[in-house]
Amino acid sequence: MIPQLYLPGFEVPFRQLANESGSQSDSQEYRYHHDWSSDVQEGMPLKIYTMGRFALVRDGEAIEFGRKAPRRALELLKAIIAMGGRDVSQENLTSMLWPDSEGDAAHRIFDTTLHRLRKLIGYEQALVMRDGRVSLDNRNCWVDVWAFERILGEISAVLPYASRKDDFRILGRLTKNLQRLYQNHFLHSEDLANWSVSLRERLRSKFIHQLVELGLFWERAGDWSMAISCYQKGLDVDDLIETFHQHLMVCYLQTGRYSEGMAVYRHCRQVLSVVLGIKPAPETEQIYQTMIRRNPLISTG
Amino acid sequence: MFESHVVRIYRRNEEKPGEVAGLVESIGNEKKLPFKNYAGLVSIMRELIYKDEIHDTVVPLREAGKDSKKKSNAL
Repeated sequence: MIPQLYLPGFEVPFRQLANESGSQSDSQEYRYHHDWSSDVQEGMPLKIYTMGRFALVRDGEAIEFGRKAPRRALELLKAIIAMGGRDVSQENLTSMLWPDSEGDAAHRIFDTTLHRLRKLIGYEQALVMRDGRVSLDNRNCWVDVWAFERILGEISAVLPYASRKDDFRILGRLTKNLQRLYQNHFLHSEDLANWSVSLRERLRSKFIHQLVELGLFWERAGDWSMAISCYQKGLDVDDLIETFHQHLMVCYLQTGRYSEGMAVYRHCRQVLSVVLGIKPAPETEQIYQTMIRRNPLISTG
Repeated sequence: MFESHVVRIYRRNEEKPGEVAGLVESIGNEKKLPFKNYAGLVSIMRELIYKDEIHDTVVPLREAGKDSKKKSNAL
């Protein structure tokens, strides 16, 4: 029995939506469901992208900062998101961002920076200050990290019980949305600050684990193309994770795409040798040997 | 001021607990340092944590052994 899920902004249960989608044409169905997060985004005046490049989109248009980017204000916004985005203590933010300022001076810097940030965003109500804590208002802001976490929750609720055609369709959509959202690590293109490490590593770890689980699910289901997309994305995130190489090789083996499987093996061997100074694991070698046995011609390629 | 380092373990040998391969990433720079066993990991961490002391004080940690040898030879 699959639990009923409710998506923010929808009055009807998630499962019911999925069932209803069966009666729609493919293009309608795609448009309606193609991205839960973008559905939820509708009507959100402010969208904040942090996974990969940092970007702010206001009313559908990217905010350009030019050469004089308000660095301090943007850093405050990034730090608020890094600390969860809701009920973030002003005291923690000031000690993290401006450790040399204390007392009234720290308070003044925070107030000034928050004022500048609100001006920059253009929506006073997007940042709510209450009892010394600041929050991003989820009625006015869409944050990619929140959407990512929401999709992870939806996957965890469906994956263990998935057995019907509808479940597969839902998981297919969620798999694609998850991959699309995780463009790169949290604040990847920024100078990595101590305060951003925790969220960055948490998201990275969750994403990698979810990709492995989804990849295995699609392998069991015999949907090699979906499994390949999971493992390939995993390698895009971190090509030192040998599990991704191994499973990708297995997928190519199963689909008779031996030369692609060989390319994965070569990449695995090279990257492990160059970066870590180690050889592929015996399991990897075993898959490689199986590939050669199935198609001896490729070993000379 | 505190420092952050991320230790990534990419391989563990269940049969040989000492064999572990991975990388140490220092936050704030692009440096990634590989290790193949726990001794290597400890050595990297020691260098990272005590780097200021290593560079600011008299004897670099790695060469401490050599120096004490020289001293004993001189004696």
